[in-house]
Amino acid sequence: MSEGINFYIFVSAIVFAAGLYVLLSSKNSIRIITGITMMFSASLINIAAIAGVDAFNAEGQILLYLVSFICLLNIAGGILLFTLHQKKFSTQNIRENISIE
Amino acid sequence: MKEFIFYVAALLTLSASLLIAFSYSVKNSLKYFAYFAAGLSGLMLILNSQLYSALLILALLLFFSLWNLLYTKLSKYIEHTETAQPRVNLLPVIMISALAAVLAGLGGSAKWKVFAVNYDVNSFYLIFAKYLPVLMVLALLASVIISAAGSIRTGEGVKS
Repeated sequence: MSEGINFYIFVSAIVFAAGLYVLLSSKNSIRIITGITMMFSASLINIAAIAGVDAFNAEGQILLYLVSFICLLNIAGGILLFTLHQKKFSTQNIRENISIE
Repeated sequence: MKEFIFYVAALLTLSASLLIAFSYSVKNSLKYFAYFAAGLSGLMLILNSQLYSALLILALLLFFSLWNLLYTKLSKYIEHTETAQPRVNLLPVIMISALAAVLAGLGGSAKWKVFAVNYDVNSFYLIFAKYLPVLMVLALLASVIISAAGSIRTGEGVKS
């Protein structure tokens, strides 16, 4: 891209905002994991844009795979936690059983 | 050619992310997330991360295969629509995007110092030799203090 990384940062900002909106507004566990993954993807776009918009950059690739691995761990942990919640409360609405005493 | 791929992939990514944000059905969200991943792999392709793009496509294929194989088992989780649907309100999305864009712009426009890392001298052994053990000890200490405080507060485990 001759315009540089500005467009990529713009795309990443919109994706991050949409992910944050999904995370804040939804009650379903699967949608919450989707929102978190979208936010991780926004950071991945930024990393890839800053590292490799001109040429291949090995250090950027390492960071890219590291963040992806953390994202995968996050998805796995989220699925595990929400499955346990589903078994205990028989609902996917994770905000239903939260009570502050 | 690169510009064309960028515009197609960016359009796919952005439209899919907005569709995820405004669809309250889990099934549709997952479907749009697959489109989102396809757009992301297109972006990665033109950002010199071809291997990552290929891995993303493979993960997408795996996702679709699992979707087809386990659909009957997963249908009770997937075929679910959120009951309390909030009104479609663009204002928070625009405000959050503006905030994210301003934050990203601040980071991007700052004149960062160029770090001259001398790899012959610097190594990361200190992380494992010094800082990580200190962090582990601090975490253990914190866990002991927190559990002791919790047991004192609830009265469990305190025999007097």
